[in-house]
Amino acid sequence: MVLALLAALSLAQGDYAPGRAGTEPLDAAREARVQALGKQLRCPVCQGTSIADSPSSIARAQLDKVRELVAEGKTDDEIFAYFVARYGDFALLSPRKEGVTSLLWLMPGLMLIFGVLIIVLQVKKKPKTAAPAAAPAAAPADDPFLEAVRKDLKQ
Amino acid sequence: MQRWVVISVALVATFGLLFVFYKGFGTDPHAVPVMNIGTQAPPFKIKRLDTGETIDSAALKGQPMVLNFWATWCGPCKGEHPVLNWAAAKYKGRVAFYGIVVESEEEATRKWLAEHGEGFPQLYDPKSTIAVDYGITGVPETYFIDKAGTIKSKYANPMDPQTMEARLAEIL
Amino acid sequence: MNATLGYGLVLLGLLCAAFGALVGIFTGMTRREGALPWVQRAVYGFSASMILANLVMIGALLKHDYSVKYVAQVGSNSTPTIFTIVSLWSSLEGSILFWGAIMGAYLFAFAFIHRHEHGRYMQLSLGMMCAVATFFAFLIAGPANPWGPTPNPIPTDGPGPNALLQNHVLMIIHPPMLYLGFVGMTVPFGIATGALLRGELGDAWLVPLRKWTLVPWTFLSVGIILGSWWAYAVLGWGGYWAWDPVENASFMPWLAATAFIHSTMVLERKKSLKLWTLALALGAFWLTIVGTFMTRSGVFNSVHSFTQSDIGPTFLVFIAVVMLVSIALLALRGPLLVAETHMESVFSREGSILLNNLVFCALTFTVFLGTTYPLITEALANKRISVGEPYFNIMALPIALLMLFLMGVGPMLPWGEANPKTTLRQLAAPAAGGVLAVVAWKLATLGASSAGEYGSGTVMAVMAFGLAGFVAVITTRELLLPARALMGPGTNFFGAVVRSASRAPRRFGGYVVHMGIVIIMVAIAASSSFKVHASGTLKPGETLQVGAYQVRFDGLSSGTEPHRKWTSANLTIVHPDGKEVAYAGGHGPRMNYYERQTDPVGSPLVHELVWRDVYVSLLAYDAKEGSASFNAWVFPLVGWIWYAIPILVAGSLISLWPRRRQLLGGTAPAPAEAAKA
Repeated sequence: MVLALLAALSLAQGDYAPGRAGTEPLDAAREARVQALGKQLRCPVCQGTSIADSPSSIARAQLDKVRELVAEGKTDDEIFAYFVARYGDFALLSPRKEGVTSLLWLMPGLMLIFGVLIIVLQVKKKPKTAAPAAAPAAAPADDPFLEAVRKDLKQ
Repeated sequence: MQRWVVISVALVATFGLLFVFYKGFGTDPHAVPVMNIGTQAPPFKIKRLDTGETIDSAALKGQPMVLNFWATWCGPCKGEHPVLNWAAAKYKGRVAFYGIVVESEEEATRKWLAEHGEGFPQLYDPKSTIAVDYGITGVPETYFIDKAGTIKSKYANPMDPQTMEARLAEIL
Repeated sequence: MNATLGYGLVLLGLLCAAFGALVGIFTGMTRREGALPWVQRAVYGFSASMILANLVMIGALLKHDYSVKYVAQVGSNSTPTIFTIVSLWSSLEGSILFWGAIMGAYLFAFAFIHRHEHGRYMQLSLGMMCAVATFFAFLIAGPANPWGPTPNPIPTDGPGPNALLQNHVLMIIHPPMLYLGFVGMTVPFGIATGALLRGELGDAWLVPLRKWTLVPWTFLSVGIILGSWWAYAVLGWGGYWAWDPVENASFMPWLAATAFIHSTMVLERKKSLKLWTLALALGAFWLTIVGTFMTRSGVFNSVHSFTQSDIGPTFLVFIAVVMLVSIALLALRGPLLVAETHMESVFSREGSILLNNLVFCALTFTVFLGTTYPLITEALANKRISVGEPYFNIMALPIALLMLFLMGVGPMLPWGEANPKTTLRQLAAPAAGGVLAVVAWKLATLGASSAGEYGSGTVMAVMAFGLAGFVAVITTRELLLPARALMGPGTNFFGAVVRSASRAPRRFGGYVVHMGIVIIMVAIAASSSFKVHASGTLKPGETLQVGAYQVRFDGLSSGTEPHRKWTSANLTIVHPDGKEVAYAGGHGPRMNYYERQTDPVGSPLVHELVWRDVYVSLLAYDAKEGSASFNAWVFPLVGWIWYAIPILVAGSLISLWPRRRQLLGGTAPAPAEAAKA
């Protein structure tokens, strides 16, 4: 056991980055804010993940920085601005809703509206004939739902 | 008529998309933009590893400065260290060289420096606060700061003599 | 030796595929059906040579033949045998080779199962599949050639496969599942383009098209869920889905294929939406190619992306060809596929399916837009931005709720036009089910939230629970009512369910899948919004409270395995009732140190319980002081995401089951029969 621990020690001091603990968490409310902000910021080395999620040491250092800025009473915008000043808009996992990125936020909604419009325009009412009236009249006493299921099963 | 509208929209989208993908080939998607070139270098106040005195960046103004961020576990840092030692000796008195050790144990750092030489003062950044202030994305990274305290450039690869000379010329 | 043999087989495969494509498409277009056997032979030749080439590569990996470039790249003498085999797909070139084998298997299966089919339906389809196969064989033979010689001197040992891939057994089954899903979309693509080239789309085209989409769809579903499980169990950040390009790449074809599977119902029933349905099949295939481009071109910023390589441009050309061919086919042949009916009302089964299609397409579009937007701003505005998890979550959540809603309403609406009064009457029970689900959740977590046992949750999550209850009631009704209708004297209920299922397997299987999706949606909502998180640094003997559980730190331990060293925290999870479960000697959360890697790879401790997981990851440790810091979570219901896999698979299998009308013919006239008369 002691030997094994020694092995681990030599490893940590050798060619491997030492895993380090972050600064002490703040009180619950402010710490929640730190974590929420961390989720919005991108870790520069591990790329895909946020600094709140990434296990890498630089992400931990950045989360410490967020904690420090939150402790200083900075607003969310000021904290984002701190990172944007260093890493550009690249640091924001949720792009701003302005300029070139506003389309990113608008286009899915526009597509949905456009699609609904197209679907509604597809509707062509059949001229009212006797035919459709006959079907529901067939078994009025029966459960209409059961009827639908039976029809489904038949086809 | 309506059909041709749809087809042309599809074709435009296709070629637009192909163009965007094609443009992507030249760039490295993992590169992080460097935003603080031309801005005032963030101030720092940290411990010097050999003497233990606190170095205040405010007191260093008026002289060009080279800041090298590194770590003990980083292979390329070993490779570039002789270049930095050499440059620090060559420009002694004209440019202030500082190494900033991040994400490393103090003890391991001393051992590392004993082995690789300590040609310029090394500052110890235990929580990597300074590193984040400077916006580093990894190690090694070297910042070139002019007399006015403005960041002139950053080199995010292992340093070589040619680059060193060229970048130093910009801040001298 | 191995290299020559393997490369020769790949060239043979390329030859067969090219031959099959030329003959298939040419004779198909000129309607010379006599050539079918030649196309079939070409397909068999392609399949055999691709599968053999893979066996040769596995042999070379097992024998550590470092004269083969790929083996020198991913092999290592210290890697355990199972991971040596897995390393076949752990790196770019090998994964494309493996892709070729799966393509071979699919083409063989399709050609063999339909070997007695008329050439009219087969030649063009097989020809188009062979055309796709030609591209992949070309890729293996040229830009992604794994057989190249190793530059001298030939090493005696290699670096071994990517450390992350060696970390968990799920890595053995997850990639093949995804590949089976991706490659399988080639088959519907072949059928759909064949139908378009012929300019017809009868049942003879449609049934295989639907079934052969369902097969890769099932693999894709399983692959995606296993991938998220892997991320959860290995990466240690406490999540299972990060909207990384590699995840999006697998999700988009799944969405398109799902939309397709639904729209075929309208096509079969109403003989309309023909062009749209085929467009979805082509789109699903196209998205698999774009997805592959995303992970393998080095153009997208992804955690899992393979190393930058030369195959990007080749893939881009292929993407362009697929897009242009698809657009040309749809534009030129589309007018031949005339809709035979029109939609009479949006408030109908077909209306709801159309809305379903719209919602699925909207989500596909959103995911695609978000994934490519950084490239767009970079190309057009020279601005580097990120689009990450927060964006996708904000956009996808409302769409997912809409999907859930449609999943409930759709099955209740009749074809044609719904009668508002009956529809409302039928809505009563499911709506009550929805309310009940929310109330049940409130009761189950009563007081627990304020006590910190669960997170406070969001309105969206509660809405998801309500909708899930609503859908569950409807789906159960759909699953069981036909059985009630079939129940005669002397038949028990279970028998009736089986009989109703075998009478309409597709319908039954579809609703089983719906049930699985409901479970997954509930699990996602619960685990993401009611989770509890705690973090802290502990000395041995100290505990960290997370939700109702305590995590006690019992000290560090270390060990060595052939391919790595590790340091692990010994932990004891203390349940609220005092029960203690200890994880010691490497079973706790740990850091793994691989040779040739500077950063350690962590792996978390997942204490799995039926209704929740306690999840602890080791952030850091100080061997001198013996202290360690942890991130800990309690995730309610999270395991149900993966527990739902068997339900999805079962549902798909039931749907794929061939219908046996003749078996049912002899039984007494079923009530459904009578009702119709």
